[in-house]
Amino acid sequence: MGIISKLPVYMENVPGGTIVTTSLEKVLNESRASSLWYLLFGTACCAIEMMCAGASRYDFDRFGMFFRASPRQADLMFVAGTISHKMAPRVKLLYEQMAEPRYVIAMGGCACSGGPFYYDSYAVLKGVDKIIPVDVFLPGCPPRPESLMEACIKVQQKVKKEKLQDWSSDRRG
Amino acid sequence: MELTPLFQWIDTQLISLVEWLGLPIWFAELLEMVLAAVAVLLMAFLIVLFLVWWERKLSGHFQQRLGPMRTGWHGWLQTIADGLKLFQKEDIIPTNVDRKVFFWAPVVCFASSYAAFAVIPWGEGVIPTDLNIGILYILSITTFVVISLLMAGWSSNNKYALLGGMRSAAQIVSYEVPLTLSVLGVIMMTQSLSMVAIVEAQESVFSWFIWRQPLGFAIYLVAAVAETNRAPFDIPEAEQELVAGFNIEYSGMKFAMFFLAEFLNLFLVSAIATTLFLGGWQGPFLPSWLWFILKTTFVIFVIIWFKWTYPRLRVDQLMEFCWKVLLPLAFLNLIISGFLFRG
Amino acid sequence: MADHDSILKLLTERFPGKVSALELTPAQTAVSVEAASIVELFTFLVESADLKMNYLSTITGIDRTDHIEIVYFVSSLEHKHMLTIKTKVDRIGGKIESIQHIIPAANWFEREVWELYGVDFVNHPDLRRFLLPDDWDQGNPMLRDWDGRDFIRMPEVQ
Repeated sequence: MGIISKLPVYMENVPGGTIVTTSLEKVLNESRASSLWYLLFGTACCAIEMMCAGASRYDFDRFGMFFRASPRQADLMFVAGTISHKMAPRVKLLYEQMAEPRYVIAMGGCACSGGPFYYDSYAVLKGVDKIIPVDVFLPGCPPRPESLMEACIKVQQKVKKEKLQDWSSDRRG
Repeated sequence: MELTPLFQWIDTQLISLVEWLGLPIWFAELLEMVLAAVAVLLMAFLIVLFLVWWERKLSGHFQQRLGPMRTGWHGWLQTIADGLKLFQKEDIIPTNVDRKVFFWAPVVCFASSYAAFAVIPWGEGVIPTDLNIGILYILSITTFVVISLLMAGWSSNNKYALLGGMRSAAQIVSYEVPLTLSVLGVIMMTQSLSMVAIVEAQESVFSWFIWRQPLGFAIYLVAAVAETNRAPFDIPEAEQELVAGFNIEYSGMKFAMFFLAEFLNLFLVSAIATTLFLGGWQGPFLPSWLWFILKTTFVIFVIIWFKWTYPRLRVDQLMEFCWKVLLPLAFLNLIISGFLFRG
Repeated sequence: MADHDSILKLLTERFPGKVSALELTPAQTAVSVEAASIVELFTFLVESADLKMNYLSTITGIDRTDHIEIVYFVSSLEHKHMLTIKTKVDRIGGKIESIQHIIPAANWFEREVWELYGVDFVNHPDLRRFLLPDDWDQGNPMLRDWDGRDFIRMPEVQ
């Protein structure tokens, strides 16, 4: 996608060309934000809240998000639940298997920083951002579905701010 | 508001254009065929656009929730957003896959569903080509889907994909048998394989084949749902069991092709059900293509309803159902219709 | 069939000197036993017609700073009575006989106690690490004086 990342540079020389790039950016970003498919991955209690948020009363599908089981087809990973040292390499593997552009929400206290298991625990990874880059941290034990929705909306806002120049893979997640 | 005068006008314009350019007449016919194919492709994309949105809305309402609501009025732009997003995704090709097969599997899947659209009668005189072996052509071409699923499952170098691909192949091949037998009942009564002849044999509402072949319709509907890998027969792509089945290693546009092909298949089997059992484009007052679309939409609604009502069947229950229940019923249907409508 | 007092009486008479009754909580029937006679005790518990205790709920360990206490919880599915058994082993290099050949469920519980406390179970067919991560090299985490790479102790509250 090298052509796309050089497009704004070329278009700046064309009079009125930046209108094209900004409109193109807007359309592409909006489409990615309105269609975030999340990975069906959850370890502990936060996973149950994630399932609730996807079910009837709170409904993620209103925002166009539905779950895909395979990491290759998912854009968003909720790290929902406590990540132990044994699980950590698997979480990293799942993250690496996701296709770019990809985003991560660290859901709940345990994924943000180890949560209640920060002290006196030999087995819990103290925060999932030690192994994968996280876009939104969402505290709570577990966070209510409305909080989870707010985190998703923050990811959507983050997606909408992305620029075309950042389209080569080493700049993005 | 029939479409036949429009097609005749296009025909005369093309012939005069080709004569003006000094090219031979068969060139006009070639251009017409290309135009028809492009028109059907565009129609196919529009249909998938509508169907993806409609399924998500329907599934939401069946589950007492709203489907997509944010992208456009009540989410009607959702499919476009999904398509654009899939276009921007990284195309991952894992290291040890069989590259050529991996690449061609989604193409074969899409192409086989699309090729069957050549004989779907959208209305009176609105059919790309009225082959005299219409329904036989459709049944043969849709078998290519099995090959593409096996290709996808095998080349992905992943045990879940292989299991999903094998199960899917077994399922589709098995359900083809009762499907063909149920269609055979209709063919016996029409005495022709051509799609247009089948529609024209159902002139009045009381001569629709659904009344004369009710068991055939039921068997056809169940076998068609199994053919398209939809719930309750979607064990090959069951999320809880097989982590997206044969789809597992596909991302980006290749996955979009499989997704597209699944919905095209859904439309295809509903269109065939309409043509064979519900009288095709026959109906009073409204133009014929509108009747066809309405009837097909109704059958699609019933199939989507099935998906979101019934739990999934296990693979051994699925196979048992096909070979021990549907197949004897299909033979019974054949025997009874052969006797009742003899001569 | 047997109740609290009769179980204790049965066990103390069958193994004089090795088994003694304990008073833990009013609901628990508890005995403490020497580590060397654990296999005998379990054979009797499983095979005796009055007791028939063949359901092992769990085996766990407690680090009492000068020794490790191993606790077995057994119950009977037929007679519906329960028993708590406590033994003591050494803190460093403690050994105890495995009861895996009497109650197969003890297999995983004993692996867990071995992994987390360092107690060696003699005659255990398959003593491997399974709860801790694959590349664990930091000792036995449940001992009170254990410290590891990623371990943060709760600070004392004043």
